[in-house]
Amino acid sequence: MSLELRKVRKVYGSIEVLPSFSLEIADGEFLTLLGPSGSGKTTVLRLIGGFAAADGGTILFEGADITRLPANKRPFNTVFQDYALFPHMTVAQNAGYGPLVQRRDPVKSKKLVDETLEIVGLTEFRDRYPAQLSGGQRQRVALARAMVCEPRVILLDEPLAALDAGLRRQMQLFLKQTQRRIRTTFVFVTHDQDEAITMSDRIVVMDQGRLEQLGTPKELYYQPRTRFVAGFFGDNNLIGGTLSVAARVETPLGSLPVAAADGLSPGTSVLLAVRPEALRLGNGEAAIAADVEEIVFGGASTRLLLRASAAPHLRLDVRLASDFRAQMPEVGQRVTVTYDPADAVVVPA
Amino acid sequence: MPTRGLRGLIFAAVAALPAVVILVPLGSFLVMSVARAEKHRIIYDWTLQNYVNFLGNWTYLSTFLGTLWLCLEVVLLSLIVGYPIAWYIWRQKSWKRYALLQLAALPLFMSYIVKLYTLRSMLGLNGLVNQALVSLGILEQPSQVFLYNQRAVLITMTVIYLPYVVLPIFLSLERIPRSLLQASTDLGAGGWDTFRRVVLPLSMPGTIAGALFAFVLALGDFITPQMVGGTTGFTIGRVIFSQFGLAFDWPFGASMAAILLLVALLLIVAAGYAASRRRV
Repeated sequence: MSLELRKVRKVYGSIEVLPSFSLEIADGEFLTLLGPSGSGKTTVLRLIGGFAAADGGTILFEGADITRLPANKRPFNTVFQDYALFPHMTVAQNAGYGPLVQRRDPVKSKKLVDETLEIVGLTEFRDRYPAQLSGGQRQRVALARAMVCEPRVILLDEPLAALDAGLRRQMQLFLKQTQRRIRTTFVFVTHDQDEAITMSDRIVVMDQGRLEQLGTPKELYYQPRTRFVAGFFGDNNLIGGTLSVAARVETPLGSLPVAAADGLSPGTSVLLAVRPEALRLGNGEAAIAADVEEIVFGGASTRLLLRASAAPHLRLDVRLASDFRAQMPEVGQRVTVTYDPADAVVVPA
Repeated sequence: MPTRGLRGLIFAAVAALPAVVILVPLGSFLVMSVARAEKHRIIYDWTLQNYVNFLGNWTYLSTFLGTLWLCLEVVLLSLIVGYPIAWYIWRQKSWKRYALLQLAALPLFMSYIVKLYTLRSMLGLNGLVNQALVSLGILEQPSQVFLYNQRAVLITMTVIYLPYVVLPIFLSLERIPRSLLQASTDLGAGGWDTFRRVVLPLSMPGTIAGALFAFVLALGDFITPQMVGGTTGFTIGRVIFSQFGLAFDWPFGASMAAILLLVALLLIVAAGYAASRRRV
């Protein structure tokens, strides 16, 4: 285990941002800290980077305690949210800053800078100043500058937040490819779940300073363990109810089947979570009667917004693969939707 | 809503007022500098004789060059003292920083003449400086070296113009995003490297502005040399003043003032160019 946080605590004034946070980060993985603002994800990054001092607990790197090690002595480099490029230095000077202040051999440093600029595709921009670059190019300079000293871990603090949607997707791919190429551990902070899903090996979902769930993007998407994760990750139909025996949930829509409910005893209040794409029209073991309220054609998929007949305050979101020839229900029509119990999960309410 | 024409008129009036009160006096000075004085009367017959007299007379010219040198010394000294002060204030947190900033700006609210008298009494034979040096055992007896000479002018001007140096430097330090300092540390730089390679270059515009303030103010100051300069602290400002107040050769005084103005303008342009060359 490369980097480890053990029961780390951080307090700002009277606010306990992180009560007790533990995490193990493997060597070479792309790990994302995901959560809404105020969840403590940036604080975790700052603690790893050495920009904030922990008020308790330990941070270990390859077994050595680095909790008190100053930022400039840690083998980690950061890509800052606003890039923090030095405006008075060219691209090459920005990239070469690390080797320069670390008094590395100038000849080797130059080679390193050249290679890094090559990787991020900025060789021809080496003599430009940050003000002469586009947002995406600045982002690459920031990455190059952090990469050049060959750190063991690169910390990225919402580096794509300032980019527009198209460029952001392009940079997501670029970051992921670069990470695979240089095989360095990336710790990435974002509040954007799409970004987290597409880029990460593993994701840490955080809320209010706590680790909600840790897992691969697929695990988090298909097997959320808490209400927060179920609601935060993509769209989900959450139906409240009580767990009964034999893996069923008693809901206002009737008794609905689920695959399994590990660790939850019968009688518990739960939320049943079914993805919009797991719902389909038709009858089955699970059957919910509903009225079509709206139909939204979205290209590859068509979205149906339904109102449950048994409980009109409950809306269901159904996403069907668009099929030009298929018969779609009409607004106002009563339909029955079903799902495969294996696609339904329960989380504590 | 005022009509377009009326708005234009108001704008013109607003623009004209400073133009009139600044440019017209300056223009009248330039006109006067090419006139000549005869028996305390000004005769306008377009001559460059005043300029020739000035440039051809080594006494005037050396006083002028000496003044430029003195002003450079003032700039240098006030930067050496002022930059660390600005930096120190900048490094402080919350209320302490603003309290110190107010303190640094406080002299600007005091009368120039009061400050001069205070400094004169401090630098004098029985002044605070001598008393302190004697009681500390650095001097055996009070010294006269602090007053009525060129050095006294240098010290006094530096003290008086210090706020004009400290404030712009502080402002340019304040503009440096904290993330740049973090980035520098993150990349392995110690405090000195971060200062030398990031903070100092990025605070240059403010430093240049502060230096310019100190230089131009010192260049035009004729009261300080008069109050504390004695006989050796003679500056071009005093010469110009004497042309108006004593010799009643206004055209000659105006020509020297015009040269002073030119030097100040050149410096402002040069400083502006130097500051704009930096990409901050």
